[in-house]
Amino acid sequence: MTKEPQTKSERETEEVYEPSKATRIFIVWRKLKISELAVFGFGIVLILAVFAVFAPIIAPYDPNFMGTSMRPPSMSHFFGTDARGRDMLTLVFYGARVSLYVGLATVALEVAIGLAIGMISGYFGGIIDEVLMRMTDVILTLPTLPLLIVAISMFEVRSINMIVLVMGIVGWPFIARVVRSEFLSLRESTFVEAARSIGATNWRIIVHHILPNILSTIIVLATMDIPWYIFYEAELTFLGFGDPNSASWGVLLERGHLYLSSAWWLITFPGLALLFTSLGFNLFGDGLRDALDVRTSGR
Amino acid sequence: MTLRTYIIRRLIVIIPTFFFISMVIFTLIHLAPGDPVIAMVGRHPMSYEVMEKIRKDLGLDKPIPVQYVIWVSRLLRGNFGYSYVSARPVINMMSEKVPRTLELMLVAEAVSVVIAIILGVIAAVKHYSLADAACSLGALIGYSAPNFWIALIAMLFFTLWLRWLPASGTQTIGIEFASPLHAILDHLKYLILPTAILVLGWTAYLFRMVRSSMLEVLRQDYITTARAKGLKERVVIYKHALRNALLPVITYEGYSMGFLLGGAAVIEYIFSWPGLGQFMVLIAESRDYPTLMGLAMMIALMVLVANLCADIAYAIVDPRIRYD
Amino acid sequence: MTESLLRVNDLKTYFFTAEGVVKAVDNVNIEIKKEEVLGLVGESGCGKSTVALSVMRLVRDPGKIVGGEIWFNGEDLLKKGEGEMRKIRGAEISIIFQNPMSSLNPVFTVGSQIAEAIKLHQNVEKDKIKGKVAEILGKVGIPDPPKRMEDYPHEYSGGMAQRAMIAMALSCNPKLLIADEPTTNLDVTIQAQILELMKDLRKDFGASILLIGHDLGVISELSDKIAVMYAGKVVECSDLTGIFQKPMHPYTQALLESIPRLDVETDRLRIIPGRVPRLINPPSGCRFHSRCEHTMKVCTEKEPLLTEVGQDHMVACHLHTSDSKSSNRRR
Repeated sequence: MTKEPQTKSERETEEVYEPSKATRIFIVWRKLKISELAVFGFGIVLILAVFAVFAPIIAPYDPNFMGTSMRPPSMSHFFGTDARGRDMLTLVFYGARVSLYVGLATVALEVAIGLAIGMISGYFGGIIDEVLMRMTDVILTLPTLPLLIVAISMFEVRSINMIVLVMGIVGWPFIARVVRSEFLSLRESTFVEAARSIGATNWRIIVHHILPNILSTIIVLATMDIPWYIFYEAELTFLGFGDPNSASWGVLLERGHLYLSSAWWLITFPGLALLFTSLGFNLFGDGLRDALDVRTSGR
Repeated sequence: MTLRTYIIRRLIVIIPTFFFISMVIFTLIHLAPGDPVIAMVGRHPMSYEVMEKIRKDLGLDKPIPVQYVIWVSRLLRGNFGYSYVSARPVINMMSEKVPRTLELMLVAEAVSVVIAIILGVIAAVKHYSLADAACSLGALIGYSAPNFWIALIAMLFFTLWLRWLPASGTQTIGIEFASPLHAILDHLKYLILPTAILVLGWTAYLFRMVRSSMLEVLRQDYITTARAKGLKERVVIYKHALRNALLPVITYEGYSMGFLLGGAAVIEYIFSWPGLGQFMVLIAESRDYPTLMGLAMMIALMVLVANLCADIAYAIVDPRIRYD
Repeated sequence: MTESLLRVNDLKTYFFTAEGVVKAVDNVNIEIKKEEVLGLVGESGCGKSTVALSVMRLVRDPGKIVGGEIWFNGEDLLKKGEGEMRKIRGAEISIIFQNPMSSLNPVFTVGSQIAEAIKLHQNVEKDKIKGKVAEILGKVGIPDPPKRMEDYPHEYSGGMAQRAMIAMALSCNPKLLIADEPTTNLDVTIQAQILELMKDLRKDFGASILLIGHDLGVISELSDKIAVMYAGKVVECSDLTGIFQKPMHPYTQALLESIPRLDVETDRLRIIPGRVPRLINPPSGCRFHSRCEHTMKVCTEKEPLLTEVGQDHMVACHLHTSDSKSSNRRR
């Protein structure tokens, strides 16, 4: 009985499938690539980012340059001009900066607050948890827009950062709740029990074991929230609660809707920009969520 | 615990929640900068003594907690106070506007639910087919489109360009003199556009829910069991699968009030639909405390009731819930 | 000699996935006679559940039955239309699954789910149905049937739920009951009870059973014959004495040897080295050759066919078929 054919055949046999961290990232990446829609969404987001960052360079006109006012779309002004003669295309580019900033900053804020509160609630439990979760429940069931309107009207200062602040503070409950429930379920999981049994301290368990697992959920939620905040800023501004001095798409829409019957291009293009931004983030977020979903990452 | 116990328990929980919300609303509104008396007085020059008298009359000189207690005790008796701006009883203003908003939301809700369930089931059953892809893409666009922008575009199209539908108000002036049928049809013309916009966003959201829930359910063992019994596929889907799939959707219906109210606010504003939403946008910056608080409490109440209904509906449909 | 109730010839069920074609069931042949119990044994992933689903024609996308014949009561099930199959499912052939708690619809009462089967296949008057349900629940050993049939699945324990599933499966007096790992998810004591129940019911109902599982010990409790499956194929099939006393296929032998024994002293448990091959690209020749102690050259080239080597004893192995010349034999 020779050993050789055996070992060769053993090599032919499939290797043991042990998903290491690198493998996991690879699986996510591969699944993301497979979903063309997600890639398309990411493409849109990328284009948006480029517009925002390079606006001063790629915009055809200076945003404050005032030419002939109220011109419909033409060869020299692709998106037309507004009431003061400013080029709409340029304004849309510059608007991307503000809107993108609002989306990212608000999400960063809500994640920071939500993560902290969710972890505190999950870790300490008891009365702290009860109180925090009651607050979360109440805020979550209230309609967002009215809540934002009430919150904004409390302040006399209307700046973009104020809006970011208010939205971030209104937005943490959702994240907090998800973080808390993930935290609680992970805390009971066997690998945490294993870590504890070899003497890991609570802090280490939280930071090294639980947090990375929560991270993927948070990333998906954050991505899906970005378009919502861009949208809410636009809506608030449109209704008159925003910062009239900013260059966001909401301002463009607010200014433009007064001329709806005469100058349709004033609202069409900023709105399309909002639509595509939202679409891009949603597609990408959907794809991201499917890719990170553990159940579908099997063979 | 039985269904009745569950409902009673839920009803009891509403009371502290209600008080908590009233406290939050009261605090927020009174914390806002700006003096209501000054706002009321406006440009009219008035002496300090007169302003103080107004303040006293309105009870604004008392400490905040006392004001709160007074307000809440009146509230519980149905007295929402009087507007600082129009001096009309707040409750009257509410009762004019609530039905308008309810009309919009309930119609939108009903239409959305029907469309979302039908399409959601089709998409899930024909997973990976063209129908599924088309519906999902449509839903994505409906979900991503900013509703107020769609409203403007719709207005542009249907009112300004095509002249098919009106863009503001609830009925044509003078329609009261025509026959009831005419009046209803006329009213419908005004209802279509705002409702359609609300339906667009909400259907998109519900559709995604129904579809993913259905997909999840169709993977379950008990569906295979149902097929193994020899049931027709149609029975398997509509009897065994759908009932389970709709469970999570019912919970989301509880959030529908929140979503629809927010959407209604801006839609009502754009179409000049005289409901709560438009009202809220118009008075948000005034310092008309009683009206503001009345409005806020009204909204909170509507949301609480919607949540309660959703919870009860869920308890009725899911037999597992009552056995905590 | 009793006639065949079920005869599966060269069944092929493949799964067409994005990563390739998984040949889950590749040329499987089994036969069950009337009132006989056939135990189908194999590791997880060897295709036994797929065989069960294939017989019921419940295989869904991306799986498809691509070849073979399934003769039941003189008819080829693979040639039947969906409407005809529906009449057979639940009435002539029934199936119970591994996880009873998830196999029952949580929003309907247990009684109504059983009644559904009865209403579908039998002509029982409306007011008699409840009685029938209570009767069958009593037969499977559920206490106080009239009350328990109004309960929901989550109010049943695992063992009771499995009994209810059995009741549902037997409610229309099927000729063949397929039991896919019926006791795997249950406690050992409950396991024994369920097996006892199935033994009794077999006598009462006169049904044949296709019993699927991975535990030779459990399966042999109830079976008359045993078929051993590996990587999508049947490698050996015989009655109990044949399998336990004269196992011929190296895989069967290894399976038997790996059972820990209390009466023999051993230092280490026997294991079978290597892993089950992925069925997307199965190895050429005999699928077991990479793990077999007695591998010969022909094993890597040609697939052994299931051939009769004794009284009611079939093996698919080059060691025992006439192909193998003595010069090729090692050992």
